[in-house]
Amino acid sequence: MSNDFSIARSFVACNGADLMAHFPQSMPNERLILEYRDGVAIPRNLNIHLPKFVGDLNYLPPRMLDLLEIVSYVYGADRHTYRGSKNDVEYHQWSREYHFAVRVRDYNFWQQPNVAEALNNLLSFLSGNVCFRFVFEPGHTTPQANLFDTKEFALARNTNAHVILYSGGLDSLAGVLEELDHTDRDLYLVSHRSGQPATSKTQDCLLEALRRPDHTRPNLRAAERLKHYCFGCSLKGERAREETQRTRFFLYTAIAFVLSDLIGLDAITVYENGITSLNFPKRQDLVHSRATRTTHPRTIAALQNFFTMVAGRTFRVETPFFWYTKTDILQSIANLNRHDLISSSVSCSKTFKVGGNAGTHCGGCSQCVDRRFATWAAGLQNNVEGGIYATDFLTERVTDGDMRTTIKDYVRQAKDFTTHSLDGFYTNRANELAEICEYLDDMNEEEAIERLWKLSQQHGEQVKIAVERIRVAHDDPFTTPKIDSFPDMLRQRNYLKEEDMTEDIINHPAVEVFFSYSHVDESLRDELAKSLKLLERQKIISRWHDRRIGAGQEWKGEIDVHLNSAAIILLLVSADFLNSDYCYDVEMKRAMERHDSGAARVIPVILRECDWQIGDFAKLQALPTDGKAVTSRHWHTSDEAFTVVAKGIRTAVEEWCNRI
Amino acid sequence: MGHERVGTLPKSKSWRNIVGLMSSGSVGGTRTNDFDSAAIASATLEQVRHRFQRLQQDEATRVTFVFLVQVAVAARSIENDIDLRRLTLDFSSNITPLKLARALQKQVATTSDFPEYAAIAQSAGIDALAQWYDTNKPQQVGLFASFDNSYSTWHQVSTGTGFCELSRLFFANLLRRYLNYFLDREASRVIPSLIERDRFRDHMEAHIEDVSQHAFETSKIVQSYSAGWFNRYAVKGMPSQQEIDGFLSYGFGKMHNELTREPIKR
Repeated sequence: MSNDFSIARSFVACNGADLMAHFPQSMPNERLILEYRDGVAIPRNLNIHLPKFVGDLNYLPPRMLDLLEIVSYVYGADRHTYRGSKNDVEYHQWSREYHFAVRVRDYNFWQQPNVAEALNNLLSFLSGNVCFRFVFEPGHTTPQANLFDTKEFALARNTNAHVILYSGGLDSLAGVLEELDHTDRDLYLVSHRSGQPATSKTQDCLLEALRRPDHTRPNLRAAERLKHYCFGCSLKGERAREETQRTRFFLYTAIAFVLSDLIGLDAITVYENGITSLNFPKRQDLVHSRATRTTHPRTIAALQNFFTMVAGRTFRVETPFFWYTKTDILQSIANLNRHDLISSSVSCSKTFKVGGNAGTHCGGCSQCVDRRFATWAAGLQNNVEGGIYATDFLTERVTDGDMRTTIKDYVRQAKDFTTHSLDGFYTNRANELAEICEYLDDMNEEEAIERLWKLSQQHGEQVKIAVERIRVAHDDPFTTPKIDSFPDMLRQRNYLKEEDMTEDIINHPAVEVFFSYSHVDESLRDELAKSLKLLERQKIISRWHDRRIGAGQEWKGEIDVHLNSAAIILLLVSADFLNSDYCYDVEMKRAMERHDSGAARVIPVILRECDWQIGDFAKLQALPTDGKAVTSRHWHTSDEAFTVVAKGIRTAVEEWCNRI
Repeated sequence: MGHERVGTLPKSKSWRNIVGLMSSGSVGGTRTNDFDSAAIASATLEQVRHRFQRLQQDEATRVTFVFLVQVAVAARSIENDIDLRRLTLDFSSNITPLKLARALQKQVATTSDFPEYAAIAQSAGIDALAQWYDTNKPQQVGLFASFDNSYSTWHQVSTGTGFCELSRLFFANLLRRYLNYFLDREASRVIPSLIERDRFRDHMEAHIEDVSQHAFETSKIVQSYSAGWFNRYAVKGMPSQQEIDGFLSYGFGKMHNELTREPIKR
């Protein structure tokens, strides 16, 4: 069997554990001895800054010291073993077997089979490896970190606090800002330091900016409430053979857990948006965590299970942004009026490749691409875009093939999200959904899938808005876009539009209109359709789709796909419309969600007199004028009323186009 | 968080020729001719001929197919006497595609050959179940149907015709996913515009659908073979390992032949 067809095994000895005694079957090339302590027979090949961390906290219990060593060794081994080349025919080297032997202080706890099994479940899924097996041996000790390294000097309990993972990215920034604004808690920010100066600098600079007094919010006391704890861990003396470091999140959360436990909390908080957490694969080869699953619901559940065992009490890993998109994150920062901090945050995963004054972001990794489109979707491109990207794919040729793949597949997936009906989403994503829904607490399968579908749709719609804005901003009829820039990728235009791909993009494409109405009002709907015919001929509106909800057809079925793609949604309001559970609860609700997110404009058209002013859409501008019903005596004829309605729709369409 | 490892195909001449087939015909972002999906599929399968055989013989592929047979057998009757405890399936309760997906994932997780193949086979099996259910559920019934609707839908898979379609979907999805495992790495890199990139996916999917339809429906031999196989070996219980292997070998062989012979006329 060739190497391409064998699963790599690593047998790892830690803290001086006897490798041969535990793994006599291991081959010499499969053995790895990791050591961070000075003064032992093995030369140090790993930096674990445990004494410094203990010094910051004064004291940690033996089990927690063991945990920090274990997570550091796992991280070290992960970086030490190669996962194969990106251009292997098949990626059989990616999934490895790990066998760890670790000498520990709290042997009685670690040797329990369920603890090793919890570690295996967590790490295998998180990293996409075949297995992580652990054996432990007793007898490990380390010297006191300093004179205060005793229980009585331990960091004081503080239950009015939150422990938050702090990477210096947008999501953790938004989380910290919301916590500062909405609570009075102390915030203990936790970071892993891997020896990358750029990352440390980003975290420090952003924290400094967060701590500065905000004169519009004098009561925040940010400088006083924000505390930052860092834990250093990296390979020593050699470059990492593997850059992907999928186990790093375990290290990150373990640091936060240890601190949280010490100050008497039962939870840590991870701010990460749901689209990134779910990270649906964009290509078939992105399996086994080649698209990360750091905050995937299954990872979070496995972490909670493991930390609960270590703490000896129920422990939670909270993800408050799970139902947010990246655009929502940016909008939440904007809502707090802290646009100024966005450029100081760093989302890029390739900062180590960005040098000099080229910018703080590579511009083309998946995180940079997500950030870029979210910025445009949130309408913040003029506030925060300036010069942070080493490669600007909006104006420059993208020469890097990986970058082209990342950009195109990101937009294509977002487009797919907008076109999938609920059934289509379920059918296409059943494999991934099965792994997610089981771990979404307090939700049955139906609720979970519908909510996940809406989240993905929201993301798709937001990317769609971003693409439209980018297209308009970069569409100069007198110049050709740079080859292989993003505007060039949009050629053969109107990508994300459903129809008429040959339409001239210099003019605004026709706008899609959707009707929601009760079957009782069918004749009135036909009258309205006639009034709109001229707008269709003039290509101001493209075509309309409607949903005829018949008597007795109030089933909770699929939402019409066009409701999710139309720019203008007309609610044809009457007493029967209001009485229809489907029209009112399902379609109207979805329409209002799209309206509120800016993805569509909803216009109530009052057909017949009814008590519509107390409805959810009462805040919207209704047609005809002043919401006088089409069939009311206010109008001499219904034609007169429908003419006013058609004019109102024309104005709305023009406003919609100008807005884009 | 959110990192993706972007893969590429090997730099060898034969692989570059396949990449060339994907990018050929594009002038300045506009295609001058259609993608030759038949040639791309055929060349890719030829390039990985031995690997494709390994995939067919992989433990996870067999486990997935056995699972589909078990579903079909179990759906025959609520009061069936097949031991389904290992399946964790109970057709006397409301069975959704997701419940089946979870049960299959648990079974595939016990296999120990190659994780790459296991991921492809498992996904193809779940695709087949979800697509089959979506197509056969009564109109106006959502995915979260009542027990009666759910059972009457799944019951249809327990006939020779129902099983034939389920197995066709499995083979088609396995092939689609395996081809995409390679082609997805380069398609967005070399196809200039987004619209063309989507069109390439649509062409490849349509081609594989054509091939599988041709292999399983147009070809009466396979249709009657699979229905006959099911009716003969799965009437009273699960077929033997040898019978399962025989069917897999036949189905894969047929699909492979269809893909590598002359292009399908649409």
